[in-house]
Amino acid sequence: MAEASGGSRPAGGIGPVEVHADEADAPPGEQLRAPGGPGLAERWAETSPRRRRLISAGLAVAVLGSAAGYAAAHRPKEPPPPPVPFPTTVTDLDYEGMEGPAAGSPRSFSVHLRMTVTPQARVPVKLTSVSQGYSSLSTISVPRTPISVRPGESRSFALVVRVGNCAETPISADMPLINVTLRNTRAIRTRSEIFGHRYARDLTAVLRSICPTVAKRSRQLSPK
Amino acid sequence: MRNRSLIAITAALAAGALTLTACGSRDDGKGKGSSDGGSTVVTIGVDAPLTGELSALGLGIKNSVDLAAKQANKNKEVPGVTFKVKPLDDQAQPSSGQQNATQLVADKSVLGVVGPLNSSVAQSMQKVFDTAKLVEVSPANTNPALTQGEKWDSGTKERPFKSYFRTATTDAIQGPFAAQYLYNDAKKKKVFVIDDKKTYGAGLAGTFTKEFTKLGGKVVGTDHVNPDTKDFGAVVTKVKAAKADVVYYGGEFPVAGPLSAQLKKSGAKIPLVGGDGIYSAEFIKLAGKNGEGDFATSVGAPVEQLPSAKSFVDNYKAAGYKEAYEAYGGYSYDSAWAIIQAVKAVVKDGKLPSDARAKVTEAMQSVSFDGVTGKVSFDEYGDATNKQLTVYKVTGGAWKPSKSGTFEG
Repeated sequence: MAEASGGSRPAGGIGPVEVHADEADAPPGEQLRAPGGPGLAERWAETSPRRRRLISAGLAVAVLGSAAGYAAAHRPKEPPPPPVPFPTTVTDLDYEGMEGPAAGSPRSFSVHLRMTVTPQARVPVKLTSVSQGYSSLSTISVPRTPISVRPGESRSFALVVRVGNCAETPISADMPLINVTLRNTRAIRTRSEIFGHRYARDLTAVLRSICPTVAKRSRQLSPK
Repeated sequence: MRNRSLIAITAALAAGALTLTACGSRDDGKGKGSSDGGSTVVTIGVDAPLTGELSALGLGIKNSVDLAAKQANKNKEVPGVTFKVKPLDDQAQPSSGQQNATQLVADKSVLGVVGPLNSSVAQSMQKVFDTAKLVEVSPANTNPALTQGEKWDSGTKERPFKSYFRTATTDAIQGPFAAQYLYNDAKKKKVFVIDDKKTYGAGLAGTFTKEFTKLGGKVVGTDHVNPDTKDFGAVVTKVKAAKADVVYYGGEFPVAGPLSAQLKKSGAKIPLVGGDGIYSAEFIKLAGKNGEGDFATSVGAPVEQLPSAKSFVDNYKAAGYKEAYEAYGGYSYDSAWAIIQAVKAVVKDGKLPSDARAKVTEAMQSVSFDGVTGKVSFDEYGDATNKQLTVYKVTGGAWKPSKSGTFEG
């Protein structure tokens, strides 16, 4: 039975491999030594300069990469951008005038409007539907909906309105309105546009010319 | 020698004491604010019902003004000026309002007043403030005559008081807007109109009725109620007999809530509709489950649609006020901020001019900023240029927005 070198072991037995007293007390450098092999310091000394440079570079990359990863993981998070505003808060509709009745269409008239989207909108707003809200007035837009307007821009369009039953028209209403549906990437919202006295006055005038019989009754209610 | 030295020292000390005394008393009674450790103190008065049946609305007004003053001080909105708030309770009574107006005028540090809630109270206060050139900004008055004169309805508008402004829009728009909604959207054709005979309620019922009739709707009955009683059996009987498909009420929630409950309990399963005076969580408490399906219009767009309103809601919550800001919180904050901006326009190097009240009133006409409720500015009558309205419906025990409108005229 061969005896292990470098230490006194019981002759003739293999026994458990135990740290010998002399190895436990050895200086730290020598404790890195694989049993029976050269230590790291010795191996570093034996390594070629080129290999030493490659190993050093690899270690540096590993250290820097770890540091960068740690910094990235613990970096204060930037706040998310604010949400896009609701379409109704960034869109204005203005009344520009009325025409009619049309020559070839005595029961039709046109309402001219302008839609403006503020720069704060950030995304375009689409007018997806528009209606008068009265059963006796049918409305289509020219151009047809959807009408898209970019932030900071405005666009004119017209509503062509056809009068059905004269008795049910808002011939003398003080505050007639137009319902619009506006859409952007955030929401779809419907809103009533109340264009005020000029619109009310013009609407009354055109409805009275289209519906003269009803006009007589309306004058009794509202002698404008 | 010794005596002369003693006399000289005594004289010097006396002169020094007199000098310090003179520096301490700068209040000369000309509405210049007052001094507070080097900073000029400007007081914003608040007049609202802080007790009584409408206190929920009044306290929301007071707290919102307080929040605006705190924000202005925190951000040093007007360098060299510290804002304080002086709230007075009018209990929704015109006589109390007038007394409060006199008290606020007498306090020279007051350079602007937010309030009142009630149009009838405003009528008793306007002249007192105007004589003193003290600016008043109401977050809630909706009667058109307060800014456009008594003949506004016949087309002759004339501003009665240059010191009166408001951030809420008027019943000239609110009533017709409700009529358009009920007739066209809700398809109601027969209305029974009730009001409390007060300035606001009767006025609103009037503008509603006029537009509803012009659209082709029919008023099948009218009646008045006494706001001090809570038994509406007689009027409920009339409503049922008239076979109305909707009730329109001009008045406030302490009456509207029980009225709605009694109406539904009698078997008349029709909605009750009102204006901003019933748009309160208190209405839903008073009406209970019977309030489901009722409507109210209110001034302004829904809070959730305005980013500026969200900040107000968050700040109000963080400030820890016990009471909710209610319907007029945002408008009250904007009213106070308008006063703050008007003060800012006249202050130079932290100092107010000698005729501060008149100058602040004059500056108010040009105030313009992006407020909680949208763009805040005033037209030639002192009315808000931003005229937005919303119809709310009681759904699942809470007010939910049903439709918005914006007045461009």
